[in-house]
Amino acid sequence: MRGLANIVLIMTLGVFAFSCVETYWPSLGGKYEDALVVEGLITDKPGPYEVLLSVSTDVNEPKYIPYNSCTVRIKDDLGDVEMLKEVDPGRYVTHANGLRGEAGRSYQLSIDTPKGKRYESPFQMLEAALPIDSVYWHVEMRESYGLDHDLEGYQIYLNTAKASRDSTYLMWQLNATYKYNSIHRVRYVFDGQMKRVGTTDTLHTCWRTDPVKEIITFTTRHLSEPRLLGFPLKYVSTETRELSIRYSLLIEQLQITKTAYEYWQSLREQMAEESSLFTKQPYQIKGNISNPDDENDVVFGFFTVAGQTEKRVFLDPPEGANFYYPTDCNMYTDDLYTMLYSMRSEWPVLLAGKVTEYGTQPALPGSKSCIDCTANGGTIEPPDFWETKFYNHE
Amino acid sequence: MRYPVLKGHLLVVIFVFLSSFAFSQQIEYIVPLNLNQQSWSNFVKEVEATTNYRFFYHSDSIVDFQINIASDGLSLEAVLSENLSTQQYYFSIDAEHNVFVSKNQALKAELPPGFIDMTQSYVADSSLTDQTESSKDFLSTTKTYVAKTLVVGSAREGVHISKATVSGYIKNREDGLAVVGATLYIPQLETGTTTDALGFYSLQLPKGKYRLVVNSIDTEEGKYELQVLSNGKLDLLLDKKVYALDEVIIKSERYDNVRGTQMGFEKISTKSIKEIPTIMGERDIIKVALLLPGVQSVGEGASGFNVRGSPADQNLFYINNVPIYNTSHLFGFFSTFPPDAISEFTLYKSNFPAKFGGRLSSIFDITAKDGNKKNFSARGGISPITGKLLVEGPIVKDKSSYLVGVRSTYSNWVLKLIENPEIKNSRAGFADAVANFSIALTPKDRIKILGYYSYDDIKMANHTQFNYENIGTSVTWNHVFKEKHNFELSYIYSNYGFGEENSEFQLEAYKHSYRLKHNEVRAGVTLRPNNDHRIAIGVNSVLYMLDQGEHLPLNSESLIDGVDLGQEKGLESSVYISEDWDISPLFSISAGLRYNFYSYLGPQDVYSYVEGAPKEIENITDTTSYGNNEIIKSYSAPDFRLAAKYIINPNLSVKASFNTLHQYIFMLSNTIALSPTDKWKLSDSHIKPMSGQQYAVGAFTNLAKNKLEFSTEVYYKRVKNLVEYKDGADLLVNEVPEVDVLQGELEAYGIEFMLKKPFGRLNGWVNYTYSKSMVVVDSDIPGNQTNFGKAYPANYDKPHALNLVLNYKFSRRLSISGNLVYATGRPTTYPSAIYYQNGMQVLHYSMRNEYRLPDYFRVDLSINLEGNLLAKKLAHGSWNLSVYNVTGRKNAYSVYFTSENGQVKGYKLSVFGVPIVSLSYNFKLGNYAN
Repeated sequence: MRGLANIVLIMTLGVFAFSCVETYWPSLGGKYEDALVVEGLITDKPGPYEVLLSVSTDVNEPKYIPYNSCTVRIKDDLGDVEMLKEVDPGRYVTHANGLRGEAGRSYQLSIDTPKGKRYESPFQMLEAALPIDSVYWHVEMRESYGLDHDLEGYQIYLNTAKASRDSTYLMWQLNATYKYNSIHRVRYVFDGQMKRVGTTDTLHTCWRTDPVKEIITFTTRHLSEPRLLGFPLKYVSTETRELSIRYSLLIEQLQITKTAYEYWQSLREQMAEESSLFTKQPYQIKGNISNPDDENDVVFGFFTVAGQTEKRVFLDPPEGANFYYPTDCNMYTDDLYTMLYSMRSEWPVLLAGKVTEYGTQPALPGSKSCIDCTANGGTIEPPDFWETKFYNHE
Repeated sequence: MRYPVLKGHLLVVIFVFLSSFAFSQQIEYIVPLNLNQQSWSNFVKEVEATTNYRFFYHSDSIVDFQINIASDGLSLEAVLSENLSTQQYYFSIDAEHNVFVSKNQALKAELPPGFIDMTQSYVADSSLTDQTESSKDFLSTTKTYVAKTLVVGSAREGVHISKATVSGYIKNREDGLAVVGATLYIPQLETGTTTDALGFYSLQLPKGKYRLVVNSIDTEEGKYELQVLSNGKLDLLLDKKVYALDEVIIKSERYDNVRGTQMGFEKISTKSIKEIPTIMGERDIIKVALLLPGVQSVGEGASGFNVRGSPADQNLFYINNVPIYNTSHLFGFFSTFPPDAISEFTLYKSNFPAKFGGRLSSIFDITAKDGNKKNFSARGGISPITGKLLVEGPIVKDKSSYLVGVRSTYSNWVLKLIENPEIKNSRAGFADAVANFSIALTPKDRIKILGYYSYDDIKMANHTQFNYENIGTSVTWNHVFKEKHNFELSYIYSNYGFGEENSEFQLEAYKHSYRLKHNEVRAGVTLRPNNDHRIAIGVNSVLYMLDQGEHLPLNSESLIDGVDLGQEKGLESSVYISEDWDISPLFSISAGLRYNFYSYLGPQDVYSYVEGAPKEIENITDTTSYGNNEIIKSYSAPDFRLAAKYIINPNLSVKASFNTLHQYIFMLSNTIALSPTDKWKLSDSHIKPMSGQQYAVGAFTNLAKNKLEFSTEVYYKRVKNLVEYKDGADLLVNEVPEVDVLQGELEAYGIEFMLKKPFGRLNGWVNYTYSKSMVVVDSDIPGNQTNFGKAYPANYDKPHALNLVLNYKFSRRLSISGNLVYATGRPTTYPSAIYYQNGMQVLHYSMRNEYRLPDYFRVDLSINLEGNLLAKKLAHGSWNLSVYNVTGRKNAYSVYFTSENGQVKGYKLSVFGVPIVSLSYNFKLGNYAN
């Protein structure tokens, strides 16, 4: 079942070590379909809810092309309709105090394009959210391929409460936030003149948030009771700086309909399908949006209606952990001013201090991200939800 | 004065006829002693000068030799008889004192019946006349072919009959084993027959003298002069083929390409493939089958094969009547048939004999070797992954024998070499065994018992374990009656099962099991009323008992609910009758009718669904419970088998066939290649049996003095109720398979060309196939279509396929072999658009199998070195060094796309992406030729 494909790949690789996998992109002859793509979600959490419309592209040139100027509506089974407002190209949202998803109600999405085509989803019932019972984690070492050491990190598990129905369909959306420091502190700034800066370096500590780009689905359909115990949600390792200071994971658990589960599960299978000798034939996965006037009109994506619960957890670095993310930010002092003048367009340039026999000297780090944590995509302000570990001495 | 002898009896007869107008007195000529030690040419000159005898022979065909005259007073006939027989010449003298001498061919200096017999015909050593039994003894003492007249029956018994039946066994001289499938041929009558599984044959001939030619794969050609006086027995011993310098090493069956009625069939002996390059030193008959025209596979390492555009579950594998339901070791890398214990295999692609049925696409009929009836013998070998041993010998000398062969992996050393920890912690072992007993109860009754076992034990990365086994046995009683008819009764048992334990995902850790039991009784009789007719009548009945298995939690941490996937029972019975009729020497037909009865039996709960709606759990309206052995659903249908052959000239024939078949068991499989957890499933009240029909025509010719055989066949095939699946169906844990099954149609056609050079230093074959195989699953019910109801190429549709197999023998000890394989890449489904969901790239795929993988190309080489050729030695060894995929081409097994951190990446997987070198050693007791 899950994993069989992987296993068999290992087998084929393993039995002989003669097989090989190489990156490959076939010639697809430039044929592709450009069709409307829908991403929409309504939950029983307060809005605003968002619907994103875009256009599919050629596989060879993937690109996000928003589809703007559509009329987007969400309708419930009581006949209430809300028209969404396009706040950015292709991004349509409900009003903050507008429509509110409720368990037991059904919702439908409809889209009218500027070309006069109409697309809609069926009415789908919003399922009551299944509470998350607990989230816990263990340090787990993993054997790894291509590394000279074992992977080290946390495996995060989830337990749910017991669902009221045997067949409960779940999907998770994860958002990881972590706090990290730049390797070097800012000691000097050069903008034509070398200036020493004070002791407070605001570019040293950052918080970065990334959605986990992974489809995670599960159903209790074949479990002896409809409750998850020890569901492995996410593995976070010391190969990146995520665990270096503090790591937080926001777990949004969506209780979805069977159709939605089947859609996301199919996408998950198809995207994770490691090659094996025994893969299923890829096929066209149909979303729940269609053109009521033309069933052959191709449209992609899904309007998901879900009961949502969420939980945020904070993880501190495993005791005595070895970190393997690159920390070697070289500092250059030779020909420093020649370099700095050649970087005129980047002024002001941040510099670290290097202790030499003549005292502390300005030194240029190998890259900006070595000294400026925001260059790694973080923000210097902690997010609102951030909890500082109370005995943290940082 | 010499006259060239004109070949052909007719001309000789005419010649004799004309010359016999001039009567002359017969005077006994005594050869003078002074001609002793003269050369043949001088002898002829002298005799012609001093008498009115005239010699006719082809000066090229008779090498000069010395005439030996033992004593004075001998007649010319006596001298010629003495001298020519040792040189293997024939002669005859007519009333006109004309002496005809020929090599190999007895010239009949006789006149049409009714004419006054004015000639005397001599054949060297005719002293055996009327000694029916002695003929056998005589033959067993001769090592090489000498012209002998074998007399069958006695003149007394034959007084009142014009036709007589000659029957008997053909055996191997050395080990006394039956020579199966030998062809017996009477050139004068252009008639013949073949031996059956016991080496038995029966021929009906007008009384008279004939030349009899006997051929088989394993033995030297035997040529006999036959005088048929009345009904009688004639057993022949043939010499095992000695691997002489120019001997055939790689060859497809020496079945007469032109004369045989069969088409769409390939017969190969394992001996003939022993030099073909191997993967990891494992000789594999299924890999060899893939080099034949019309046989394809989805890719390297895929289980089974696809014959003429059909899915892999439409092939039926038999080993001595035992059907084998899983033919793969290690998921498909090797086959479960230990080559040492196999004597040959026959692959029927069209024109199925009526005794076979139950699969639509091919019958792969494997014959296990019979044990040596004379002496104990042993052989064995070692390859990089397995060791094997085979012992055989008599139980009762000349009557009963045993053969036991086993093969097993001996270590996992290859896995240990690999860096990947998941692989290092894996284990892959397999074994198989064949035991074959042949017991002669009476000269007319034999019992054959086969035992078969294969086993796989695979553990992967500490979290998944697979076990597979096939157990099979057959007991066959064969009885010959009235010297020419044959009755056979068999009981057959086959049992296939697998188990899986998977703890990769702890929450869902499970164990899973599956088992299929096949119990069969088969009875058949083969009647040969005369040479022109051969009738087979039989019945068989198979009881299938399938346990679709249990899916249970593996341990206490697993949260899954145990599921019992239920039992299935089905009874498939058939009666058949077929007739092979030689309407004229040039035209034969073969017609068969097989009638199949199939019942799906209880106990079972059967669901009913809303009419006109897709079968889905939501659409279940009712459940009907059936009791044990209660018939839930029955299907019955006739299979028609029809074939015809017409010989245009001795080197060219055309053949045509039409076959229909039905299949009641299929594999639940929606993966591209058969997956390790695919299960057999019976047709039931929702899933209809598959039916197929095939039309084929072919032309068969021998070229370059029979040195080359060329054939071409065109076929067109249709399969109805082909089992297909809804997109993405999960079939492993599926309590209601009918919900995911769709039934469609398959249409396949193609043309195959095969050129063989069976003999010579350089031998082998080349074949090219052009074929198409298309599937369509359409329905008025939405959701019951695949690919929107449009036709798509089957996964194994490879329009152009070329196979070249060559062997070159430098000496008796050293040979090289090579294969070259080219095929169009298999069809595949590629993405046709990309879009985003939740920030992740998502692919939208094309229509099914709209694209193709890159073409497949592979070259393999092997060098074979035999041990020394000493006649007297304890054991003989041989080495085989094989390089598979010499060019190291990374043939695509699949091209796939995965999402990594939201980004789509494309990859190509090659199964054997580098040259694979392996060395194996084989030994046997005795010398090279044994």
